[in-house]
Parts: sequence; C-alpha cells; structure tokens
Amino acid sequence: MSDVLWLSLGVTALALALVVPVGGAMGWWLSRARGPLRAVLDACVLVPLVLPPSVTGYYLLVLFGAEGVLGAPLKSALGVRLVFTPVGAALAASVVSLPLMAKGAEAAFLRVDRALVEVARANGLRAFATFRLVTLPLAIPGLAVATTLTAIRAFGEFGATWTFAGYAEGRTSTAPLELYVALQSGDDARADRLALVMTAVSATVAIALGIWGRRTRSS
Amino acid sequence: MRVALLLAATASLACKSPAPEREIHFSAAISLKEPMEELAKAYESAHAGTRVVLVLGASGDLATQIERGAEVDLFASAADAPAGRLVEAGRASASCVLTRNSLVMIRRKDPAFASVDWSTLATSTAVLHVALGLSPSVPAGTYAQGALQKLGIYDAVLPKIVRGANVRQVLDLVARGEADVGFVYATDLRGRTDVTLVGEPPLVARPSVLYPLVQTADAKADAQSFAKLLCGAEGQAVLARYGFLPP
Repeated sequence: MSDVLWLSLGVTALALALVVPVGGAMGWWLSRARGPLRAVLDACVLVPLVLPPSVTGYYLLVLFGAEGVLGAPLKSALGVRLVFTPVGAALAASVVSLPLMAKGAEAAFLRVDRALVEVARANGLRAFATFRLVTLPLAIPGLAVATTLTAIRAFGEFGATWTFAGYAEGRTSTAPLELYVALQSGDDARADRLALVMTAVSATVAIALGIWGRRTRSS
Repeated sequence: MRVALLLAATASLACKSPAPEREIHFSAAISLKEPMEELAKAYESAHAGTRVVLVLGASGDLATQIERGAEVDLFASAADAPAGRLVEAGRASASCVLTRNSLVMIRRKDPAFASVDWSTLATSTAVLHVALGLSPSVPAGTYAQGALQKLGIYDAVLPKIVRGANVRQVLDLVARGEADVGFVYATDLRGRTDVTLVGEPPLVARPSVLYPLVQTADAKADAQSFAKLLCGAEGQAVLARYGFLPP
C-alpha cells in the first residue's frame, strides 16, 4: 500500500517539475499576448481538458510509443522508452494537468496590478528584474493555487496513464490504476483502502486550499 | 427548444427499446472472440427474435462482474479458476468443457529479438519488457507465470514484466513494440503477421488450457439451448476452424 502511495507521489512530483515551469510560462505569455497566435495557443492549451483522457493517452502512444513518431527516434538515439515507465506515467499526468496550470497561471498574472509594473519600469527597472521583483511576487498566491490544482489532477490521473503508460507493477501502478486493478480482480478490501487513502489526500488538499484562500483574502 | 427536442428523442428511444426480443447474456474469454461472434450470429439467425449479447474480456474480470450481480446466463472461461469460483459459490453449474488451446511465446518481428526463445529469455539483454496478462484476472498471464516458474526463470524475468488487461492487449503490446516478448494463445495469432511465434513452452512447463462453459443459476431456457449449440457438433466445428483444439 505505502509503495503505491510513494510511487503516486513520485509520479506527481515529476509531473509538477515539468508542468509548473512550462504551464507557468504559457500562462504568463497568454496573459500578455494579443492576436491570432494567442487564440491558437489558448485553444491548444485547452485540448487536454476537453479531450477524453483515453484519447489524450492514445495520442501520446502514437507520438511517444516505442514505434511512435517521436518515440522511435527517442529510443534509437537515447535508448529511452516511456511506455511502462514512471517517466511515461508522469508525462501522461503532465499533459492532462497542463491546462489547469496554464490557465491558472494566466489568471494569476492577469490579476497583477499593471500600474505597479509600469511604475517599476518607469523607475528604470529592467524587464526581467520587474518580472522577478514585482510581477512574480504578486502572482504567487494565484500560482500556488494553480500548482495545487495541477498536483491533485496529476495525482488522480487514470485514463491517459492507463492508455499510454500501461500497467507495470512498481513502475506505472499509481493509486488510481491499482484501485481499478483491485476492483477488477475482486480484491475489494484493497480497493477500499486505496479509495480511502486517495480521498484523504484529495480532501486534505481541498480543505487546505479553502483555509488558505480565506486567509489570503482577509489579509 | 433544441434541448427539449433532444430530450424527447432520447425518451422515445428509451421507450422503444424493449422490443419483443429475447436476450441471452453470454460472457466469454476474449480469446474466444471470433468463433463466439460467429456462433452467436448463427444462433440468432436460426432463432428469430432472440439476441445473443456477447461480453468479451479477461475471464477473471467477467467472473467478478457475475459475482457482483451482472445478469449473465452463460460464461465461457479460459481457465478453471474463474468458472470454478462461481460453481463453488453456487452461482453457476458446469455445461461442458468447450474447447482447448495452447499457450505460446511470441516476440517482436524486429530482428534484434530473433534469438529470443524459452531457453534464452532469462538471459537476453535485448529484452526489456515481457508482457503477461494481469494475473489472476487474465488466465493467459497465470498460465505464463506458471510456465516461467516451472522453468525456474520467473524471478529472472520478473523485473521486466509489464501487464496487459487481457490476452489481446498482450498481443497488441508486442505488435506495437511496447513489449519485446509476450505470452498469448496459439489461436490469438490467427491472421496476424505483425508478431513472430516462438512456440509452446518445453513439455515440463506446458499448461493445460481448458475452457469450461458454465450456466448461471438463473439461465433461461434460451441460454440452455445456445449452450447445447456451443458444446455440440456445430460449435465444435466453428471452434476447430479458428484453430481451437477438441476438449
């Protein structure tokens, strides 16, 4: 049981390491850009959110499978395989949770008071320094919420993981996959334990988000 | 307005469906897919007004569904254990042993795996992923595990094992190159050119793959007549045509 939870947390952490910088950067760009290119990226970011996860998983398989468009060169050049590996599970979780990070980050950056940014720039602060010293600190609360939602979505990922990463004990067997397998094989006791653990983790996050949200609003 | 139309259409569809048709609910191991589909059609055309609802999957999963109350009349399992569970619990009784099959090893077509067979599997460095059906739900996985254990190479292979949710998924994993080696039934390979057959395990490790057919406690008369067809000459002829062995 605990090894399943550790694997799940590890896969989630790996997914976050990928999604937070990528999704955060996308959100920042979305919050500033205008025009047709922005509309295109905006639509693209939402694709994993509107597609059934099994379809997302299938596309990942076509792209990153052993004989996939990118998977085949990846394997021959670096010997890297993604299907049946924790990295593959993390990739599936990343893609599915990316929209939450990107859109959450976009909202966080949009909420930053433009006047403060302009004052900093007018006082001679360079663009990057302004971002680091003004924009980013002001966006942190929103980014934290986006990261948390992304994490919990990645933690609970099932459809794309099952379709793309497959089921390999100890490598891709995250808690949601284990629950499904336990149910299929009639091991209800194990299914119950897994459901309880996942509910506890998710509920803790939801409650923490609520408390933290109230506190930041009142301060 | 459109929503109302949609709702009305859905409602009319729902009301129309209980036609005078009688249904036989038949759960079958997915390795039996093609012959069972053909036999279901044959029975339907010989008995107008009767429909055979075929559910295909891993035998263990199908048994679990029946234990959880799925309304199934007949169940053809790829191993004794899933059907036996139902018989022991008083949920089903034996009809006949439907057919027999053989467990085989397959490998990817890629020439890099040309030397992989039952004797070299444990030491092959080319093989990274070995696909087995998820045990105990997938009998082919349980048979394969038993064969590897009898040959004393299960522990060596274990770190490379990846799982398929049913035997056809195992076949697909090897065909797509996600797994290098897999264990399926000889009949699964019918018409497949995208994987290479290695062969059955050495005699000492060869499992006996029998398919029991059971009928559940509440099987209707229609289901019993369909079971007779499956166990009888017509059923056996179709099974033989798909490469299954006489029980």
